[in-house]
Amino acid sequence: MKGDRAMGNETILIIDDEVQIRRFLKIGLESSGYRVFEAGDGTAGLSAAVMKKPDLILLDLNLPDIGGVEILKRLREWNRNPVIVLTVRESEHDKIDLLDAGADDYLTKPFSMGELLARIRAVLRRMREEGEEPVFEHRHLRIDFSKRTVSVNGEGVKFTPLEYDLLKLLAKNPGKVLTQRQIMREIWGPGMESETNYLRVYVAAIRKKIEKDPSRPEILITEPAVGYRFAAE
Amino acid sequence: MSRDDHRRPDPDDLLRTIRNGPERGALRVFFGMAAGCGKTFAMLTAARRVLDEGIDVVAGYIETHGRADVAALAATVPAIPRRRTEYRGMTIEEMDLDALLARRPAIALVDELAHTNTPDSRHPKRYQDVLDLLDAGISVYTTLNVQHLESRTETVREITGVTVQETLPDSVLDRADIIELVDISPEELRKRLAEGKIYPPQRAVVAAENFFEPGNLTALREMALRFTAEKVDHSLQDYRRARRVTEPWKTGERLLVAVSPSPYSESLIRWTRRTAFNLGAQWIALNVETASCLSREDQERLQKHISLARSLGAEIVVTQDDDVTEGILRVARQRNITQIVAGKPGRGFWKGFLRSKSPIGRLIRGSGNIDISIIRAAESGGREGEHAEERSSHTKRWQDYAAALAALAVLMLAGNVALPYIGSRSVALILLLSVMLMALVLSWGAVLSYAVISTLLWNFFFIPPRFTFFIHSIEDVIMFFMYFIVALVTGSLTARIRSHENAARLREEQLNVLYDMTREFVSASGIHGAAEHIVSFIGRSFDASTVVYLKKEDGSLDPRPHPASTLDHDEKEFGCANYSFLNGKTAGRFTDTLPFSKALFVPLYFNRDNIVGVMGVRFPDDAVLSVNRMTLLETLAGHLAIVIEREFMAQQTQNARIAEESDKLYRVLLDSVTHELKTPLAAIKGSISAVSEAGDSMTGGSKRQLLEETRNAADRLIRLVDNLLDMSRLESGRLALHRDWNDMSDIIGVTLDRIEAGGVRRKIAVHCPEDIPLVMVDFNLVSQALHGMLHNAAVHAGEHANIRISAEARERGVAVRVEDDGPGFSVGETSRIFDKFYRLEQNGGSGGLGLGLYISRGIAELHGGTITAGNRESGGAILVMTLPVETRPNTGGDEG
Repeated sequence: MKGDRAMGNETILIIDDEVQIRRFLKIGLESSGYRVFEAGDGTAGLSAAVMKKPDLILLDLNLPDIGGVEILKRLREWNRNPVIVLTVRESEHDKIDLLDAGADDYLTKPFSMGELLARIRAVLRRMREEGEEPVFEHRHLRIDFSKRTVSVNGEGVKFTPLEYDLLKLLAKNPGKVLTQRQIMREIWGPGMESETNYLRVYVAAIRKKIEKDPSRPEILITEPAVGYRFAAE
Repeated sequence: MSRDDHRRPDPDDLLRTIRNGPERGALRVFFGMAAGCGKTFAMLTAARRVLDEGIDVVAGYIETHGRADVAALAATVPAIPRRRTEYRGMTIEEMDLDALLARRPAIALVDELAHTNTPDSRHPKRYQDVLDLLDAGISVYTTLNVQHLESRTETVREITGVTVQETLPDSVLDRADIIELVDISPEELRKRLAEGKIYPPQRAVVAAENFFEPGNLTALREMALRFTAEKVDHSLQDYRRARRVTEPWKTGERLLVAVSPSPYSESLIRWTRRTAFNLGAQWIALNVETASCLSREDQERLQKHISLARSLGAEIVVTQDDDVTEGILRVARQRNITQIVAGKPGRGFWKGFLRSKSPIGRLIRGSGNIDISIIRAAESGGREGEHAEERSSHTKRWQDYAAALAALAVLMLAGNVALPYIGSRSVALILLLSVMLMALVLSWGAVLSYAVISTLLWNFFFIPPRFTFFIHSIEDVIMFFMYFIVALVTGSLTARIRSHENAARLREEQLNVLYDMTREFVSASGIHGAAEHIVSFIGRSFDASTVVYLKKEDGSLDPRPHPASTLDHDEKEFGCANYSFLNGKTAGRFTDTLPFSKALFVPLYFNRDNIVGVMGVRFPDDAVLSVNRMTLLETLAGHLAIVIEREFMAQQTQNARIAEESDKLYRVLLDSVTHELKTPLAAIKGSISAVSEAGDSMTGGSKRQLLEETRNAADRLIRLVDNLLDMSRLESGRLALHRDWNDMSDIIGVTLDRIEAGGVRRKIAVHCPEDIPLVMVDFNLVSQALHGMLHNAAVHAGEHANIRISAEARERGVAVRVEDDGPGFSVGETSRIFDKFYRLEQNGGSGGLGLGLYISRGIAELHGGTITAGNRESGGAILVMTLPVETRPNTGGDEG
């Protein structure tokens, strides 16, 4: 697989209060070629973020000193670097707040190393490739942003303007979780956040057009109770 | 309850005497014969003395009456600022009870115990403020003139001709720990009056000629001295009892006085109180309710008399009997009464004659060994009011008489016309008939008069020789007397039948009311049902709205009204409710506590130690509350209290049972959790140690295999922990639903991903119609519920079974079914598979904790739905989850 190893110069900051977690993350990430810094609480994490300027931050949601949302807010005051939130099942709704506040992705503990590495790669690639590409290709799907056309398996498929906008929004952020609130605000405008039934209807319509089996989607993936993600690779 | 009880050597009473000591404040009364005798001065001097000893004394209210020496002394005692209030356009200063209670001095000075407060005060009378202070543990110094004593007002009026408006129940003075007589000779007092030390000169002159007239003062002084002497005597008895001095008791003297609306009743009550006090006896005020309906005025007066008796320390007993005398004797025997007090009314001869079977005579005959005291009862107090009332009842009676006369006149005319055709004796029969008819509608007196007058008129107009009272023939004389007697007997018999009929009807009505209520009550379930019934019952029979407050778990009164209430919560009124709750007393309208509240608050208790709530009833503005209805209200409150208490108790039992059950579960859980935890842990530890200890000697293949084993074991542990957490969240009720519009096929898809990620490699067929509506559910929880159902099928259906999941729209919401073609459930299993920790027999070890379906069912129920299990006709198990939730069509993707 391509991109199995990192470029070698990318740095990751782990902010987590559990030593055991930090240790296995460090070993796993370093053996995949990343340079790793550690911080045991929010304060240390924020100063490490300033000092070391990491390319990516792994942020534990439940830190003893500062809340996750607060850390993210302070980070975002000066730094646009990607943040992946590490959470547990019990704090599902905090993670939505964090995603709304600008976190790039999340992982629920316990997770496997493979999953984590895949997310890190996707997020970092998105950072590198940011910029307007006129044509987007993914598996059998091809979107021409300049012409506003979509084709599946080489055949043009008709999209309504709203369906197209929704697909474009997701496709522009491959691998990134977009929360319902973010999508609703972007596509339908503010004030419509609670009318998620529209979103469901449009997602179902898009899946019928682009997925092989709309009941088991492989491109437009549901993040339960959070939002949607455009499959990364 | 009066302290008169204390005369009995009863351990409870002794206990109360002891309790009176430390908890409650002491009451010290500076008692005098009239204004100006120096009570306030004496009080202040005493206060000054204890103040100098370093005791915290605060003046709550001092009335200096502009006397310089008093004012100078008052200035040396710290005071609580008075509360200013507007009353009828005047600014009036009142004692600030709340400030005083908050300040909590050791001793409070409160002048003029008999003072009447302004309507916006907590209590109508100052002595009630003082009782609050005492209950709060604050000792009180206060002043009082003898003429204000309730039991003495009548005597005072007789002596001085002045009706005292501000009166004080004697029972309050019974609570006094020290009564200090402030005595001064009448001459000295008059001298002080003349010197302008009591009233301003002009008022002083008037006063000197009236109230302060030497004879009056001497009489008042005697009363004051005598009263103090009586009190001293009682204190001595208290003292002896506390010291276990045995003394012959006035062996259980018990007095009974009947209370009626009659204006004479009041003086009887006072007399009984005085006698009871002197005898050291208990006394009972008895109201015998008869079938006859009381007029509104009578009812009010009866109420007044009953509250007078209560305030004088009587025990109030209400009984029902058609015959007052019988009722009195019955209660007297039941309660071991030794003396019945009856009034000797100043009735005219006429009434005495008509009621030859006088109640007093019957009382004496039926009393057996009970003493009867017959007292000359004087009509007392508020004379103008009495007259107005008399008049109003007279008008009604005159209406009866007028009707009788009118009927008589018509009959006489008709008789005169018909006489030539029918003869005088037929006229007599017609008249007799009319007497009977009259008896059906008119009052007894009117019927009697009708009978008498009709006899005379018949004689005059119809018996020859006509137009004289002279009767010619013997036959007619006999006829005349026969007519007279028959008319009288018929009239009174009919009237009696009518009154019995009325009584029976009234009783039947009351019975019906009670029967209805009881029936409704039996069918009512729980607090809510009972409260609803009582509230609607009160609404119907009293035309009143009701609010019910219940006790909270922490023991305080919950300010949120019970949902069955028909009266809105009112912060100010709630204060009154709380008072009633804390003190276990009825408060608010119609009572002495906060009588200006809009509603009447009745505490709910079956057992006085456990007050479970308060019921507030707001009557129409012009309502009068009779004893009868008050009793009914209290009965209702009692019923409600029983239901509430029963429910509380049931809750406690339930809690205890849950605790026991959870204890049992805990042991089962511990056993299976230990097993379920240890197996994967053993696998992890074993595999990892094998890898690390073997070092490089192990082949890559076996290393990977062992690590894969470790990972599986870890996944199993994760599932286990997740299930346990879900279970506890589900049971604690902390599992909040985050509902949102969701696509059922999306939920199924995600669930299948999860199942596959969990290592179930099984082809699961999905059938979900395209037009299945969006549902308002919690995505994660529903997915988890489906996971439990699918996991169950995957584990129990066998390796080669086909599994199918399908969704369908229902009339309301959706249903999801999971089917397989495995062995299906065995008999009896379908009802148990949703139980906690239930594991199917056939699958011994690998089934986990048996929580999956339990959690699935919990989630379905959170959504208001169900899960059922059964077997398919063609074989295999089927689980159906229904989610009766809100839906929206999943189509119409048109541009908005």
